Amino acid sequence: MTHRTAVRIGIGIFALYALAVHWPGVLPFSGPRPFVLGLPFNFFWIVLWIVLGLLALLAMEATRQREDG
Amino acid sequence: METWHVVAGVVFAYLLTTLFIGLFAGRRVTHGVAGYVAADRQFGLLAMYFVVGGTVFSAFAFLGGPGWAYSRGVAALYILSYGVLGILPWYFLGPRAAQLGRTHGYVTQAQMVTGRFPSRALSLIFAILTVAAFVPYIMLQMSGAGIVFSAVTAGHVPLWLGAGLAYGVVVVYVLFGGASAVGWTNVFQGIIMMIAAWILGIYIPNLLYGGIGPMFEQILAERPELLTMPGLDASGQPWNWGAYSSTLLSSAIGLAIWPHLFMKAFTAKSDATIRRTVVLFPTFQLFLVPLLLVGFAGVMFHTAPPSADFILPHMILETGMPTLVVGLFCAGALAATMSTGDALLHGAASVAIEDGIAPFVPIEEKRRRFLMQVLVLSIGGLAYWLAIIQQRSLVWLLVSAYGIIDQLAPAIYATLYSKRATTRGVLAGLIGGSLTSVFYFLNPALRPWEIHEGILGLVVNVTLLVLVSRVDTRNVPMRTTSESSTNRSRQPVS
Repeated sequence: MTHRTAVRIGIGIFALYALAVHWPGVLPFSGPRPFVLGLPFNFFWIVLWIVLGLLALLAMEATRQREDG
Repeated sequence: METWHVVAGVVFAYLLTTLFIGLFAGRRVTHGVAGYVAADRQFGLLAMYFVVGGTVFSAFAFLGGPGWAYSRGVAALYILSYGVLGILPWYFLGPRAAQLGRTHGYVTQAQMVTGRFPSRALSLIFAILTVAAFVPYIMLQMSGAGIVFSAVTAGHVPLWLGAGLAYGVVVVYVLFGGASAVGWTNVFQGIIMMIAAWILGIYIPNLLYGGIGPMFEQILAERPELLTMPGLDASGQPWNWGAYSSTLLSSAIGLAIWPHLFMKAFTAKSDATIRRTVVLFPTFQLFLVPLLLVGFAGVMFHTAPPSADFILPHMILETGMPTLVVGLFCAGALAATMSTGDALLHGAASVAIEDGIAPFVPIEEKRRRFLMQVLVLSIGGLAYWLAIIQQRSLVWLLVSAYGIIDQLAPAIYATLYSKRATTRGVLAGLIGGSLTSVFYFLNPALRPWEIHEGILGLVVNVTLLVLVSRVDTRNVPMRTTSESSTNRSRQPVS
């Protein structure tokens, strides 16, 4: 994957992130059930997006470093 | 010997170490403005990571976040959401700003903005808004330090004295060390904070409920309203989605614009350092998770703290933790407030002088550094006085600061990315947006759908910027050298 593609995908993930945590995108995920890893679903949902954001950023940085040599 | 004596001992040891690191680091840089404000652009990845993390992870995270989880339930999830969302723009803005900083010798945002949109009024407005946003943020940090001291010494050290002690140390190393002292103390403070957060967040729910899952099961059975988004408002009624989402959005937009964070672009060693700091930033956000868990652990606890912001120290003291852990918590919480407070004090003073005074009155290099130190003292003193007499909730202080800082965003984005924006457009947006934000801050009942005043201000800000720039025929082209860089060249690095 090129850095350019990684940045595009990364920005796409962050756009989804923004939708997924704001009203109304967050509504389907705003209840407490089911519990995941001991956390209420809404709590897990927010943590999940932090992890996805981290992965997107890591991919962007890894491809940039590879291209820069 | 009473327990609080031991705790006080640990805290004093921590304060002394911080002071030592701060003073030692301050001796290693040059004495000009670049040395004091931008630390000779010396920070590598490790230092930058903790500088950014320590700066963003404040008393708000350590005390206000758990306080919200305890009193307002999942409303606190907005705090988790905005950090990562808000840091992404810095991946692009940071290196771009750093490049301009290196080329033109900028050390503040307003220098960068007026390099593209030459206007002394713009510089002055930036300075006023920055200081206005920093004061409540510094108050927040000072109250936080006071809360920690007062709670763990069972009131033996009152709030005013605790805040005074912690910030006495901060002022000393900011005065003598500048950006370098702030950076290196943050490395130390960042490590202390992380250890404290994870130990507490995992230990307390296990101790009280036998695990995180059982804890939430109990809360759901007894207080289901706390676990249904968007949680509760300050009065304990269900919160409004408009308020939740716009508070989140306002914080996400403001995060990368905060001058004390943004100015780190001018202190970083290389663009790669800035990008890697952004990449690692979500790991700091994950440290909020254990802290929120401690707040939730307080919900079903048999005693209540004097106010929600006290929940974390309250839980630590009431659950009979070993004295050393209590000491570690205090050091961690103090580290969180001090590592943000120092950057804020340093940033506020730098901005006030570089952008508020220097464009109007020529000041020689040596005098400028001295004036900056006077301002650290006076801004610190003002915030301290306000913190003692006002005593507002920690989250309230932060949310109001974001309303102001958001208004700087359109000007910064226009500087870095827009070819069409004009000086008059930027000025009109900044003034209109700030007035709108202040109006709704003073008249919260008039806000449509309880939308955060920062967002309402931004709507006016961006609209004016675009419209006035379009009407404005005097389109100012990108300048190669700025007004500020010609009379204020960078100091040589020793």
